[in-house]
Amino acid sequence: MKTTSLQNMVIISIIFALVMIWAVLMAVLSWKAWEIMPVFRQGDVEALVAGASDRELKAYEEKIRLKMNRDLLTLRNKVPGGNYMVINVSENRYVLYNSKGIVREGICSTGNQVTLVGEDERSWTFRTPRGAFYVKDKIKNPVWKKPDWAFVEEGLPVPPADDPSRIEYGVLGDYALNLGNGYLIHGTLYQRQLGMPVTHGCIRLADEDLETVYNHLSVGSKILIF
Amino acid sequence: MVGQLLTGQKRYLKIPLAIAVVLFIILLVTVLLFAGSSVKWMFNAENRALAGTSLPDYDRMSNEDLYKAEAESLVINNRLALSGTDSVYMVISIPDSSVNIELKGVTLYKARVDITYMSPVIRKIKRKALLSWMSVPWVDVHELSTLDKHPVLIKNAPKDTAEARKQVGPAQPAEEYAALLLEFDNGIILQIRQADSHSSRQHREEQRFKRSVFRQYHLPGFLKALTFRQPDYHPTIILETGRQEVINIYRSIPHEVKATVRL
Repeated sequence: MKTTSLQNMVIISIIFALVMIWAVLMAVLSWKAWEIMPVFRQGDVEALVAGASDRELKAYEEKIRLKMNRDLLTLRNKVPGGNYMVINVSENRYVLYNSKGIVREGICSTGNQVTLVGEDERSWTFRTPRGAFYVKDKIKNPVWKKPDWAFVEEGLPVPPADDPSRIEYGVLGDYALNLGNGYLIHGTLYQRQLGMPVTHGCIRLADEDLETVYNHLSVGSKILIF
Repeated sequence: MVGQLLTGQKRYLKIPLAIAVVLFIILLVTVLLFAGSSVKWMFNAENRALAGTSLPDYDRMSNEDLYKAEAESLVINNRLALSGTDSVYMVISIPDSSVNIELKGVTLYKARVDITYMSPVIRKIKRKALLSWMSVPWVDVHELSTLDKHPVLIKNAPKDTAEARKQVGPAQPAEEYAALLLEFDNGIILQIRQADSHSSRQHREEQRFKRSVFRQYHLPGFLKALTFRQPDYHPTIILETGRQEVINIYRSIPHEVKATVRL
C-alpha cells in the first residue's frame, strides 16, 4: 500500500513538474510570439505589385529630389545668418558661430540648480533658462546690483532696494551681454569654477572667451541654450 | 500508468490533470492573442497608411533609391515645419545611427547611437506605412527616465555669514544610470540607454528601470491576454549611447517633445 502511494506521489509530482515546465515555456513563447510573428511575412509584398516604367520612376525621383533640395535650402536659411552662440547647460560648454562655422568654443558656468529657501519662506531657484534668446544689450564694465537672494545666501540682512551696499564693481568682469529677465553672459572672479554648474542662472565665461563673444555678438544676435 | 491512475481507485488524480488542461487552454489562448496582437497592429498600421496616402497606384517603394529619397525628403520637410516652432525637437535617423537635437533649424547637439534592438514589425511593415509614419513628426505622449528632468537641490538660507561660508562649493551630481523611454503617439516606443560601463549602483538602477518598463508596457498585456483580450502592442526601438549623451538628450528636450524619425 505504502509503495503504491509513493509511486502515485512520484507520478503526480512528475505531472506537475511537466505542467510547470510547459507553462513556463508557453509564457516565454507568448512573450516572444508578438515579436516573432511578423518575421514570417513572406518576402516583400510590395515588390509584387505591378510597377511603373523606369522612366516614370526616374521622373518621380527627380521631382522628390528637387523638392528636397528646395526644403534643405529653406532650412539652411533658417540658421542665423550672423554670429550666434549655443550653450550646453548639461555640460557647461559654449560654442560661438559665425556664418562660416565655429569661431570659438570652450567651458562656461551655468545655473547650480539650487533652490534657496529664505527664513521668510521666499525661495529662489538658480537655473539657466533653456530656449532661444537674443542679445538685448551689451554692457562694458558692468556693475552688479545685488538682488535680495545674494544677501539671503550670505546670511546677511536684506537692505532696502536703493541701498549702496547692493552695488558691487568688478565682479562681473569687463563685459556683459543682457539676455533679459535678469540673465546675463558675464565674466567671473572665480575662474577655477568654470565648467561647473555654480552660477545663479547667468552664464559665466573666462576673460578671453568673454571678450571674443562680446566682440562677435551684437544686439539682436541669437543665443540658443539647451 | 496514468491511465491506471485515472481509471483505477485514484480518481482524485483527475483534478490535477483537469487543472493542467485548463491551464493549457488559457496559455494557448494567451500565446495566440500575443502572437496575433503584433500582426493585427501591423495590418492596422498599414491600412491606415494606405488609406491616408497620396502615393500613386504603382508601388514605387520597391525601388530602393526612390524610397531613400522620399524618406529623406519627408524628414527635411518635417524639420522645416518644426524649425518654425519655439521648441527644441529631435531628429532621429536610424540608417545614420544618430540622434540630433535642434532648435530653430540649428543643430544644437549630435549624438552617435548604436541600434541594439528594433522590433521585427518595423522591418517587416510595408514601406508605404513607414513613409506614412515619417511624413509627420512623432509626438511624445509618455516618458519614463532614471534621470531627474530638472534636478534641484533644496538649500535653506544660512543664519549668518559664518554658516554661509561653510556652504560654499558646487553640489556634486549623483552618478545615476542614464536611460529614457519615449512613447510616441503612433504607439512606437523609443528607448535611449547608457552603454558605458556600469557601477553596481547603476546596475541596480538599470534593473529597476527595466522592471518599470515591464510593469508599464508588458505586464498589462499579459493580464489582458489572460482574460482573453487582445494585448496592446508597442513596437520598440532601443538605442545605446554614452551616459553624458543620454543626459544631454533628456535634459534638453521638453515634455511632449516632437521628433522626426527616419527609418
